[in-house]
Amino acid sequence: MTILKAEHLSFSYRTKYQTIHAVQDISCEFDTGKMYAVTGESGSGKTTLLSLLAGLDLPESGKVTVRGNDLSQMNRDKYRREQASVIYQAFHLFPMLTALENVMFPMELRNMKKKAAKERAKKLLLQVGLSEKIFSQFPQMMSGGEQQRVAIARAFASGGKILLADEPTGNLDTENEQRIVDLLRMSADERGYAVIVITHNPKVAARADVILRMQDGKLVSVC
Amino acid sequence: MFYIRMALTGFWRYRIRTALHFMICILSVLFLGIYTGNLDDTTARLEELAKKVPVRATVINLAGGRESGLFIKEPLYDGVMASPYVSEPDFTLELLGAKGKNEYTVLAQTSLKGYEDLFSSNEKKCVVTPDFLKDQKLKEGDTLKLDLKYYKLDAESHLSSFILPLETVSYQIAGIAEGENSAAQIMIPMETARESYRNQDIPFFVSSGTFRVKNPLELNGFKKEMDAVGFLEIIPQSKPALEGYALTVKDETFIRAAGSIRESRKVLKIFFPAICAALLGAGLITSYLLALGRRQEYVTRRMLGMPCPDCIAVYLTEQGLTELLGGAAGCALSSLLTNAGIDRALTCGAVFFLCYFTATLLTAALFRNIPLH
Repeated sequence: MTILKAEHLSFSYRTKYQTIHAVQDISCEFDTGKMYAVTGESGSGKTTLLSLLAGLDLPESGKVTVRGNDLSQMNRDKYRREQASVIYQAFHLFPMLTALENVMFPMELRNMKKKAAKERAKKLLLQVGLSEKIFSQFPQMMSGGEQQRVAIARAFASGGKILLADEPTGNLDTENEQRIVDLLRMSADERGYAVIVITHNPKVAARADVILRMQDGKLVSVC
Repeated sequence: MFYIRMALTGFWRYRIRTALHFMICILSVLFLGIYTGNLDDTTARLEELAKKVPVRATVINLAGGRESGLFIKEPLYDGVMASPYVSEPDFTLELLGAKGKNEYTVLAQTSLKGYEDLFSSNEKKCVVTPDFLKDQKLKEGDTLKLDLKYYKLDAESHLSSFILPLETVSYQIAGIAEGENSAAQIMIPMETARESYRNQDIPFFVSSGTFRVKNPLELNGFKKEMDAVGFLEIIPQSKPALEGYALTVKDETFIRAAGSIRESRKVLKIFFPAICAALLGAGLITSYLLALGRRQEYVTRRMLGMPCPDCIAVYLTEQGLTELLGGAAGCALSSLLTNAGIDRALTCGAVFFLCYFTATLLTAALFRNIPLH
C-alpha cells in the first residue's frame, strides 16, 4: 500500500549570495512493507528530500501526501508524533533521560499513561536486541550501536508506519552497522513499515528493496 | 503533568547547570539587596543627621546685631509658638518687679528647666533666686506681691526704651532657681505676663526668642512658614533698631552635610535603570548560554512531534523555577546579610525576577528560529 507520496517536489535554499536548488521536481511513492535507499553524492539533495518527507520543511512547489492527505494541510507536529519517525546518524537521544525514558517519550507525548508507556518501552527495547541492564543507562554510557537501537525502539514507539533514517549507520562499526540494517529490514518485513534510508553506504543500499539515486537535486534513477 | 515532569527532570538531571544558574540568581538578588540597602542607608543617615545636627533659629533685629532686649511683636511670637515646625521654643520678656523700695529683675519665660509644666501654664507662681529669698526673708510657698513694670519702646528712636508701670500681681513662690536657671531674680510664666498686658490694654511684646527646627529635613517648609508668620531676612544696611523682625537660622552645617548625603543618594538612584539593565543583560546572557546548550534537545523534541509552544513552555518552566527559587533564596540571604526588612528583600526579589524572567522570555523566542535539520 502506498503510504507516502512525493509529487513534483521542489525546494531551494536561498541565502544572501545564492540560491541552491536542493530538490528539483522529484516524484516518487513509498509503500508499506518495503525498504527504500536514497543514495547520491554529498549535496545531491537527499537530506532535503528526507526533511520534506518528514514535514520539517514545506516544498516550494509540489506536495507530499500521507495516505492521500496533503502534508502541508496537516498538523505536521502530529504527523511526526503519530505517523512518521526519524532516526539520525548522531542518534539524537535525550542525554538527561535513560534508555527507557527515551523510548517512553513519544508515548507520553501522545498522553499514554506512564505505567503503560514504561511496559511498552521495555518490550520495544528487548525487541531491538537490548538487554534489561540498558534500561536505566544514560546515552553517554552506551555504545554507538546501542544508542542507535534505542533510537530505533523510540521510532517504533510512535506507532506510525513511516520510518525515515538519515545515515543511520554513519557512526557505527561494521558489526553494529549490520545489526542496524537488520533491524531496519525487520521493521519493513515484519512490522510493515515504509522504511526510507538515506545512505552513502552501498552495502546498506544493497539491502533495500528500491534504490533511488539522486544527483544535483534530481531523481536520476529508481531501481 | 508530563511537561511539568519533563521540566523537573531537566531541572534535576542538569543539576550542575541548575546549581550554577541558581547561584547567579542568588548573587543577583544579593547585589540588588546591597544596592537598595545603600539607598536606604542614605535615608537613615539623613534622618540621623537631623537628630545629631540640630538647627536653631533666633529672633534678631533687622540689622542683625542684637538677639536680646528686643521688642518682638505678639503675632510673631504666637506664629512661632503655634508652628508645627518648631520645638523647644524659648522666649523671654524682661520686666521689673518692685517690692517696696527695692526693684528686682523679673523674666517672663516660656520654659524653665525643672518647671516645664508651670512655665507653659498661666498659673500665678514664680521661681526665685536664693539671694532674693534671703533678701526678702521669704521661703518656698510664700506669696510674693510685685508691682510689675514693663519696657516701652521709644517710638521715635526705636533704639531705647523707658520703664512704665504694668500691674500689681501676687505670685506664689513655687521654687528656687540656681545656676543657669537664674537669668533674673524672679522668673514667671510668660502667659501671666501676657495677662497683665491684656488687663492694662497694652500691646504685648517679648524680648528674645530662640527655638529649634523640629525636623531639619523640612527646612524649606519651616522657612516658608516663618515668612508667612511675618519674619524678614536680615538687612545689614538697615538702621539699628530694637524691633525683632528678623530670624537667623543656623543651618549651614546641616545643609552642607545633608546636601552631601542627598547627592550620594541622587547618584545611587541614577544607577537604578543601569542596574535593571545589567540584570536584564545578565539574564539574557545566562539564558542564552543555557538555551544554546539545550538546542539539540529542542530539535529532538520537535522531531518527535512536540509542538514548538510546548517545547518553549517546558524551557520556561525549568528556567522560571530556577529563577524563582534562586530569587527566593537570594531574598532570604539578603534579608540576613544586609539586615533588610522582609519588604525590601521581597521588592528586590520581585525586581530581579521581573528583569531576569523577561530576559528568559526573550531568549525563548529565539527557539522559533532554530532550524530543525
